[in-house]
Amino acid sequence: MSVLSLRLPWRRGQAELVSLAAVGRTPWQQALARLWRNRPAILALLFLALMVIACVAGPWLLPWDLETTDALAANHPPGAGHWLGTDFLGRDILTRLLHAGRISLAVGLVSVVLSVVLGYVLGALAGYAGGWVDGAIMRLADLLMTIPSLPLLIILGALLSELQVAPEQRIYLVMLMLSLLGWTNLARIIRGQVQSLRSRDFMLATEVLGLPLWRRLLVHLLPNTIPTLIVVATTGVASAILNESYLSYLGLGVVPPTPSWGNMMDTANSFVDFQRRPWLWMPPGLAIFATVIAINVLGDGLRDALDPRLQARSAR
Amino acid sequence: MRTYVLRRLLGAIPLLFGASLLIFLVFALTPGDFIDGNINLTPQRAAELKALYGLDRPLWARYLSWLSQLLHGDLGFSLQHQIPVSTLLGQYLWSSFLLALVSLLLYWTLSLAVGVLAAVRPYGWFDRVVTLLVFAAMSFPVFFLCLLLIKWFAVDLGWLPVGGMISIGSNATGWDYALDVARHMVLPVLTLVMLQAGGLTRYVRASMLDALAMDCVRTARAKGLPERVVILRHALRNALLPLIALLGFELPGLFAGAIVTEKIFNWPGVGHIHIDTLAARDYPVLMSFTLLLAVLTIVGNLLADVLSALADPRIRLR
Repeated sequence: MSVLSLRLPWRRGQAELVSLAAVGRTPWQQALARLWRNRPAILALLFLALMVIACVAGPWLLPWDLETTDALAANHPPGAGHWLGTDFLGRDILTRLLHAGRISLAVGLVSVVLSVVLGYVLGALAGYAGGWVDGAIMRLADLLMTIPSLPLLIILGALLSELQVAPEQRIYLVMLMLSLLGWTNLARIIRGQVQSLRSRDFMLATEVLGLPLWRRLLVHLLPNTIPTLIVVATTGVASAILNESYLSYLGLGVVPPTPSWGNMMDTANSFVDFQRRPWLWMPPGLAIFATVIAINVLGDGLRDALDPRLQARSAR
Repeated sequence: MRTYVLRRLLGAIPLLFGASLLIFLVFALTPGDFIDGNINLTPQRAAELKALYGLDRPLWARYLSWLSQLLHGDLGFSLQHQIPVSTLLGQYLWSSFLLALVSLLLYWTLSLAVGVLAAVRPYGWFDRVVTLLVFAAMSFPVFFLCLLLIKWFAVDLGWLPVGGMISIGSNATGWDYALDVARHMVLPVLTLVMLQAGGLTRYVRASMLDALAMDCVRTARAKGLPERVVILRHALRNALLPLIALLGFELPGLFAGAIVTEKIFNWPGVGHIHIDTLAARDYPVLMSFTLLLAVLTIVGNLLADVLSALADPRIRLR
């Protein structure tokens, strides 16, 4: 080992490259082709794209405003003017729904980006470094996993109410909360992968070739974990959106006047609204359901497309 | 086997202490408590009460006294209900357990049957329908499902009660009482089964697909065994192995109470208490309950490891 890892700088970069002409499509192109053939996944992707476009552009195109109240048009059922009706202040439900979609999608996306960065870095570090670093990170993950996440989120949500955080800043804290609890799963998976990849022959070869550490990690080791990262992150968005909606429904997540899909359903707590005015709480519920199911179907399609091991199974 | 269990037990102890410290810190560092929330108290009286409850002592002293209380089996005293926390939890725990146990039995039976059937003919029409339903179950927000069920079955059709555990003013006993509780249980149980069956069915199907690809299954077929025997005796046994661990992970769920479901159906369980005491900042109850969940999770993981090791000798040696 020690002899093999001697550095021979004068040899570096001088070996002749094998002709690459015979190499076919890259694994990424193959994965993309597999995804394209998976009709439900592509439909889900289309639906999500439409949902994002509607939420981003919709509020500008609709004639109604988020905050404008209209006492004469309160509690109208869905009809020609207000497609999804109005609430007790005469605010247009569709406009609020799309605004809420911006918030809910943003909370889901941002919290997952944060937790993925955290989980990936910590997982890769634990897997590669081993020793006490690995021990410390994994014990921390174990500890966070011992407390079921919903009770803990509820307590943290109550903490935010206690601190009287302004509604505008509260969204960011909710994102942070979700991501601080969400990283452990990814960290475990990535750690396992890095551990098994580290001892494989191609990694030994990079050591023999005397490649610098950053190159061995960034160019050879970590790209192999990207497929897993993509799949876990996709399904993570779904669970982050669900968790945010639970918290907001209970009044502990995103709070009014900022609308989110979860807190719009709060109206169902009043019996009259619940029984007589389903247009107040059904649209946000359906929006959460449709978005989350689309993300899950897409995540499943990505798993099939990116994981050759699973591909072999389905071909059998 | 004994060393394996012993090693796991020893590994769980620091985790227990870590969890208790984490839970204590979350609550202790939260500004405001039960006494601050009462605006009728004069500052002097509030300070007196804080001294009485030991809230004026330094953080580490409070943690240590809480911990020693816990180790003596004393969970503390509920400030809101003015009864010991263990009595309070005892009152509500069993109704949560009843709900969870009935749902657990139903969705394990359902998932096992459906998952195996789907895996026997993968990508057939049945499998496709099941996959679709699994995705729907995994994507439903709990509270939305509860609300829809209440709207359709309790309000519009009027078949079943809206919530609670027994009818108001009812003093039925014996069979009438059991029937009344059963009627109130239908919708919450339906909610829990619909939500939990999704993920489990997916897991059973995947595990069964793995098992059907094993060499022993090919051998069993080559021997000319009837397909029913191959599936039930040879493939299913191997497929159950990873599922045994999942059964251990269900332990905390049995006592944790389904917070959202219990809240919406007004079921008198610990999940419901959890939300209500949160509003009153009754920290002794909240801390004991959260710690109980953490302990159950750790014990559940331990149980999962031990059960898997019992069923599969290969795991013991690792």
